[in-house]
Amino acid sequence: MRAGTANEILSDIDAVRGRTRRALHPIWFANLVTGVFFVGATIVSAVASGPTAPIVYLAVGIPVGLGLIVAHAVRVERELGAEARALDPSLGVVAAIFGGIAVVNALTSGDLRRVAWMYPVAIGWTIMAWLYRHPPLAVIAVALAVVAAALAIAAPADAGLWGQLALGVLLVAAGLYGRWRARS
Amino acid sequence: MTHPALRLDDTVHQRVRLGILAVLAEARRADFAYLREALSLTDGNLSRHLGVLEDAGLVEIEKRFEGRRPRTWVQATKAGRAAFAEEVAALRELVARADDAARTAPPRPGRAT
Repeated sequence: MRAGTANEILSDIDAVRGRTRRALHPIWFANLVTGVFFVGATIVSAVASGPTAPIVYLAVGIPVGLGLIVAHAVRVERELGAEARALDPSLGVVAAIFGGIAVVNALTSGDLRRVAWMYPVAIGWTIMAWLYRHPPLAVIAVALAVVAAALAIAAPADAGLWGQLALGVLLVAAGLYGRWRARS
Repeated sequence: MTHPALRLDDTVHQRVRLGILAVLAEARRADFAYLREALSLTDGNLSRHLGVLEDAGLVEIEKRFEGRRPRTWVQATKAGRAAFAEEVAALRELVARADDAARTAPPRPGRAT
């Protein structure tokens, strides 16, 4: 067999796998839900006078958000006629993002800590962009890293909240763009 | 060491069958209609290739009724996933060898004019 033919077959395999992966994981919906969640979390944190409201928001918002994502994935699988594997690599990336946030929080302090968490998230989204061949996620990652750098330099009083709001808005934008792409 | 071309398995290497295994490498299982659409095949063509893969023990086919609707689910077996991974590895090695050979080959003398 010629190397050119082998290369062509590998490209075809990659294309088929990529299409299946994207079809089984409509990542735009997860982006939209998590984006709305982060925007909501920012608003609640900014408006609330004590810690109760943000804690209640997290306690209710996280299971509701996850439930929506899972329910949507199940519906998509039923309509498609294909089921995703239980152990998806994206779960590993999400776990690594949380691990990365814990590490940077332990290694940083003061103003830097308030924005450092954005870097593991940016790296995680870059990996997701490659995994799902979904360029908007790479755009989010770069934009998030730029916002984190700007916040680290400007060091406003609510740097953490501004970072959270930026993440939320970027995710909502990527979700809406992904939805438009999926339906057009 | 065996040349990668000799490690290519005829059962797996056929384009349609490779496509079926590529889909099933990403999905836990897929139904007949999904495979047909994803790979742009006719019913007969897909059935024939699924039969070959099933006979080789590379996929499992389950036919059942969901409500009143008959549905055929296809799932790669452990052997099927391993065979697919081996096929991809052999193809990658083949490409890498060709790239190495091209890099280390002495430059061709220019044609005299």
